[in-house]
Amino acid sequence: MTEFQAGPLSLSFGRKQVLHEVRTEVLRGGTMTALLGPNGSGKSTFLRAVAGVIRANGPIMLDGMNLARMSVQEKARYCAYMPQLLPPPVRMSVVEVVLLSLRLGGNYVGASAAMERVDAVLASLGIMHLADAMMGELSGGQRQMIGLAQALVRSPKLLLLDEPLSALDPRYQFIVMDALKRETVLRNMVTLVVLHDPAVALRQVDSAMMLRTGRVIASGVVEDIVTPEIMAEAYGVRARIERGSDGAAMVSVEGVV
Amino acid sequence: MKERSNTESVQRALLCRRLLIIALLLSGLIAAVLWNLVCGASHLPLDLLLKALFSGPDDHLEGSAGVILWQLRLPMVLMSAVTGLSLGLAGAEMQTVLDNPLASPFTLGLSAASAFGASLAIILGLYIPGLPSEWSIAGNAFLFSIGSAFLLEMVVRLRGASAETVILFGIAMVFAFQAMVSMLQFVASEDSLQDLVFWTMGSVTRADWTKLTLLSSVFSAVMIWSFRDSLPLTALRFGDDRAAGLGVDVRRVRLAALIRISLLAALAVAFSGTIGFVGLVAPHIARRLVGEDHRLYLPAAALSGGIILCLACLAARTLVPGEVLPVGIMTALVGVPFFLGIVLRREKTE
Ligand SMILES: Nc1ncnc2c1ncn2[C@@H]1O[C@H](COP(=O)(O)OP(=O)(O)O)[C@@H](O)[C@H]1O
Ligand SMILES: [Mg+2]
Repeated sequence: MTEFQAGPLSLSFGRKQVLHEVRTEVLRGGTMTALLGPNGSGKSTFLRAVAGVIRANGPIMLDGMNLARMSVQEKARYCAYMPQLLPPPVRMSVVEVVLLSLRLGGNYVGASAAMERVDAVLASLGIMHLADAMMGELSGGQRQMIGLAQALVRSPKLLLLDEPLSALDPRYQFIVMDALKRETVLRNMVTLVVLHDPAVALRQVDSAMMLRTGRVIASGVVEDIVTPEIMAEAYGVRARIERGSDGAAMVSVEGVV
Repeated sequence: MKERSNTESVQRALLCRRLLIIALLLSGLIAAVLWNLVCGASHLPLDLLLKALFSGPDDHLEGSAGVILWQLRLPMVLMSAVTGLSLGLAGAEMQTVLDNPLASPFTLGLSAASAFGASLAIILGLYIPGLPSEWSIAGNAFLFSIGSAFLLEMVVRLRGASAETVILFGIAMVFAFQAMVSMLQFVASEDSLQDLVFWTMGSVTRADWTKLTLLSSVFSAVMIWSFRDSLPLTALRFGDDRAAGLGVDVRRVRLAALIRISLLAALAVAFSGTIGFVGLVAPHIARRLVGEDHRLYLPAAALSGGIILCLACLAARTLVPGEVLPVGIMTALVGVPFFLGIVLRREKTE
């Protein structure tokens, strides 16, 4: 069973401390965890630190290995990271872009097997029709989907996604969350995803952690995190959580506190 | 499953087309070199040319044809080809690692820095004993070009340094080094002045076989080295964070690229003076032709640079009968409108 635990991680930019001993619970393979919190609370910074894009002090343990001690190349074998910034409209075709990710992954499997994996990922994200398009012809949301495919195609043990829904229409938001849940279970991944909408988290993920000004203010099962009290503390809003007739949870924000 | 084989064949067709384009560029470069050999103050008909070419440098079968070819035209034309290849490759890598479509050794001051380094070596007589003087001049040019490259990279890494800021900083470096070269010219003695003027206006008329050998060896080594980094360089096009997430050691790749760029810029300047805009234009042509997979993009940019400079050389030698204009003037005439074009297009998209 895959097990992951990061932190406590602390990090400063110059004299400004952005992360204060942020740590995750012990997360298991096949589960999705949402990283929640208001703008500027340090979600992206934490994810970048876990991905090793920036250095933070503290252990990042995956199945007994300390990712914090690994070189970038070595780490990329176990961990895939998708940053918040959308992929730019580079002059390359979609398939080339996704293949690039596999080639750099350190466990390249040969041309035809690689092509098969690329196709499988594009199909599971419902973007097979974009396979031969050039990146420059795509919309921001479509490029975001390609960025996600770059991360998913490596079938990592640890998947780190920074706001994967930010540029997507409702249909693709649903498709992405659905595909993530499916792949997470299928490949027994630990998936850590930054979401800016707590309502999406409440419906789609298993556990969550809430950040505010670089500190974890709550973490655990998602139902215990997305609550009116914690929403008020983290975002400064008055929120109501309701169960629809199908049992699905809904979050409505009624004002600010 | 039908869809799958379809995608695969589309990809293969795309790759074949791009490889064909590279082959065409290579033939284009060879054709441009031959065209240069034929044209000039005295016309060399193709059959005479080929005969002289195949009888080698020592066997002057046709007397004057052999001399014109082996001592005058061939070094000059090959020099413009290899200089163009070098500038094209340097520009391509520079636009990638600085993430800036206006970057090139010329526009960001590496060429000016190299010219200053080379001038300084001449004025101060900084010659390493036992080595040809070309080496010391090129070496000093390299010191200054790599210094300015690292300064640029520092500015890029500073938070908030936008593409525009970097360009302005580069232009400031161009001005500063040009002023210093002018100052050297002012204090220089009469005969070294001749040398210095040459650097401020690029020209390939001083080519000889020593310089040519040196530049071609460095270009070949750098081309192989950058080709080996072509996957990580491609990943850099997707931004530092994404590249690092894909397993690229961003700092190492960028450092290696800056060393390569500085080497090429310094040698090109030390031997042929400041030739602008080739390094700026060639990468844009290459991107249009073969896309941005750097395994194809880097060779295509180098070849485009070679073709541009060979054609510019041809124009410089034939435009005014009996005169050889500095080739840098030719590339500027074409390059400046192109530069403005990129600036204005950027304005529009933002
Ligand atoms: N490279 C950086 N240099 C300095 N400060 C930064 C940098 N990146 C982020 N910050 C600061 O760190 C804080 C957290 O940012 P971030 O992690 O991006 O927040 P979030 O993703 O939760 O919106 C913010 O106050 C931001 O200004
Ligand atoms: Mg963020």
